[in-house]
Amino acid sequence: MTICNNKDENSYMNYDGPLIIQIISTFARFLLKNTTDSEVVSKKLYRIFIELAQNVALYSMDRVTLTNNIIVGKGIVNIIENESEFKCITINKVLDEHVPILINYCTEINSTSIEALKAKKKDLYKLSSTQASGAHIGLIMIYMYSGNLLDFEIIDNGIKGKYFKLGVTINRK
Amino acid sequence: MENLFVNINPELIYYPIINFNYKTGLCEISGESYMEETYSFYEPVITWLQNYIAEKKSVVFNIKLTYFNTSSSRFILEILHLLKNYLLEGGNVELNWYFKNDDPDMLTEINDFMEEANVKINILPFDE
Repeated sequence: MTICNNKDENSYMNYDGPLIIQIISTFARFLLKNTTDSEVVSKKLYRIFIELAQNVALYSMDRVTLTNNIIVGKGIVNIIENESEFKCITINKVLDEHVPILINYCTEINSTSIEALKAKKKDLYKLSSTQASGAHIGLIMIYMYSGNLLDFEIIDNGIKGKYFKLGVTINRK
Repeated sequence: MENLFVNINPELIYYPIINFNYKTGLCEISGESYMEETYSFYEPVITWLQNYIAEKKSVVFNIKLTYFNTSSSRFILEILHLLKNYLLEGGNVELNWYFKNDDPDMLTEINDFMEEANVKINILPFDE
């Protein structure tokens, strides 16, 4: 699967494996401490990275059982940087029946005002805690942190299944 | 009732520090919150608060979180609802959220929480 399409883009960080919390935390701290951008940008990158990585950990259909019997999702997390922006990309396997749900969530978020999304979030919190509402709120939060449209795609990998690719842009200026 | 102090491991920064004092009513939650098992972490915290409030004591609740994930935000909202309801019942509650000036996203989150929980939160500068 292609992640960097543009020769001007640099892969700042790339990981393919189980998204255990210790890995997420270590990578996130690295991003926070090692980008030379403002605190505002570094924190956005930090928060978006954690939220995206934890989505993969929770919802990826590729599951890994660790030695302590914890089961966690695996997938790809990639950070691309260029002069004007960072892009956080995740790719993880999804069930066929989740594809239209994810497309619907992302399309709706991209076409909804911030105020309407805040109201939507409020309604979602009132629902009993379910994976669906959690994933939905997570995508809304990612969008609100980013301030840019979600860049999403379903990749049909034949017999290996379908993969959800989500790209989130963080402006550096 | 005993105090509630939870500091899982300073190296595991995704667990916040919980410091609830039964005698003074000063309750603080600080650090970051993005652990995997949010329910099992927050359930005893909320239970402690429910038991404390049942004794009709004053609460000064300070939130000093610098990051929390979506899963944690659900429990933070539950805590705010709990305190708001206690306030409406005549309880003495002061809610403070400390934040850093270079963190506009956190300010947005705090304002969203105020709106979602319909409760007043004093927004105060973070002591470094």
